[in-house]
Amino acid sequence: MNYAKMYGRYIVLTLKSRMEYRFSFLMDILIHIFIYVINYMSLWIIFEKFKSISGWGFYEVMFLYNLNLLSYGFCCMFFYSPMQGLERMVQRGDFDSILVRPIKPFWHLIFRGFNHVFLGHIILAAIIFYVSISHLQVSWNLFKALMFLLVIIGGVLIQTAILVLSGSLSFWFVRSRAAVNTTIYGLRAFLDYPITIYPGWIQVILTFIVPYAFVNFYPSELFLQKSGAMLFHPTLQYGTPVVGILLFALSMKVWDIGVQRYQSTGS
Amino acid sequence: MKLYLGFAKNSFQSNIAYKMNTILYTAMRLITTFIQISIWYALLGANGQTTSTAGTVTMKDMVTYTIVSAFISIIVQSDAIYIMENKIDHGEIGMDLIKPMNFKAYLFSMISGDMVYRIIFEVIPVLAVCIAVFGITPPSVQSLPFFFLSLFGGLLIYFELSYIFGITGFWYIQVWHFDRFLTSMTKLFAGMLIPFWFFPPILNTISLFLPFRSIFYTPICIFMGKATQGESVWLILQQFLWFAALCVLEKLLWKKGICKLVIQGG
Repeated sequence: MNYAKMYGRYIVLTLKSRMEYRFSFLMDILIHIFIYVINYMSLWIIFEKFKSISGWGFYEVMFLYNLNLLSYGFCCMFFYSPMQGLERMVQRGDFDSILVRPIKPFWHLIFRGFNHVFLGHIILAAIIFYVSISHLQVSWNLFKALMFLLVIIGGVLIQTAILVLSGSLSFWFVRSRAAVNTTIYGLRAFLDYPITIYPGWIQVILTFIVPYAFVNFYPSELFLQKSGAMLFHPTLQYGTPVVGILLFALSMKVWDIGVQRYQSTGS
Repeated sequence: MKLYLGFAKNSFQSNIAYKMNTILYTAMRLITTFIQISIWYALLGANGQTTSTAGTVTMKDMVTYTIVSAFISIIVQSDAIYIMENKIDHGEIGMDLIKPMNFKAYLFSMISGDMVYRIIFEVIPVLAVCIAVFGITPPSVQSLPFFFLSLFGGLLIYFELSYIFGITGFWYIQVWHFDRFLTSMTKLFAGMLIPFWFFPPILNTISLFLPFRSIFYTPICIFMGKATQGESVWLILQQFLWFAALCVLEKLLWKKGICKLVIQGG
């Protein structure tokens, strides 16, 4: 079966049904744009007063924050609803209906779970990238451009992997969602600013244990040439695509194990 | 009165059942407070200080600001909007209006029960950890009564705003939009994370025409002694004026909403 074509059809169908409520559809997207515009305004206020934080200027932190926003928005558009809804499906046994379909349960969940509200994230992130990059002295060449693309893909993979791993926990611990969500949102909150402002042990956690820092901090260090104040080896700047692929592969493996466990326990 | 106390007690008890959520919420609150203090630390330096429209501000000041803000945040937040949305969506609102009690008082007493629960199980641990780890500049004894008055004023304003947005549920389906709007506006225009003494003049002026400032900035300033007694009285008066104005708006909207409910049967 041609998955790409099928997914294309699914998305069109989903969008068509959502857009029946035009106003609601638009407001879903606009409210998220509003929320993040307010966040950027907060950044602006701080930098108007303080000019820099830990050696990072306004547009640099804007770029940093935006990498997180874009990768999060892109990942959630496809994976948020499926993973959030999974715990309930497992609890109520609805997941069985997914297992009898002729396509792998993972893809079926993804197909059904397209969430348009995150389009706001992506639209705003695109605008902010334009604004921040035009104010930064980045010497663009082919390598940098390619790296930029890889970094975004890597960031999306990392965000997705963590989301999938957290969703997979539902196969083992049924009431885990609240705890996991808190951990994820708690850790992601550290990414709003360069992680060099936090104590060393937090930087260790964000680099080696739950490698969120590869989503925006290390790539930003690369593009904005900030190798000065880093705690670890400068090679980490190039790590995002590798970490992304490895983590995503791990998450898919854990997912598979989880689904098998679900089937065998007849949950 | 006993009736409403009963509702508050109910709310309190059903909250005990959500122990796990409480622990998580407290942990999240500690994380965000820690992040915020880290940010100020990076901006000001360990013993640093900076100029502002309210005079010299030290790192200790900012730590106190952040902790008091977290305290107010836990107190003030409520599910009022969602409770109302639920009731309107499921038509329960019809039953609630038939009952011989004031719907708004009923909602407020439920929220108060929630709040007492949060004070015991969330505020105390968060404050204990924060004060132990970071330290806080204690308030002067004279400012305390004004602080609690302004805290109450801020709570009323936030409740009233939530209530008004809840009423929109009579017309608007996606009430969560308004909840997010309220949260975001509060984050910025209440001085929840960034005090107004760091704000550029234009945004500061805008905030003066909005009710959000009275919810966080006013009580925190009074706590930190940044307002004289006279100023405190005036600030509290402003809070109650805002509350009164919001009540008028709410009554108008409520009338319209009930009309629609009666005509369309919810």
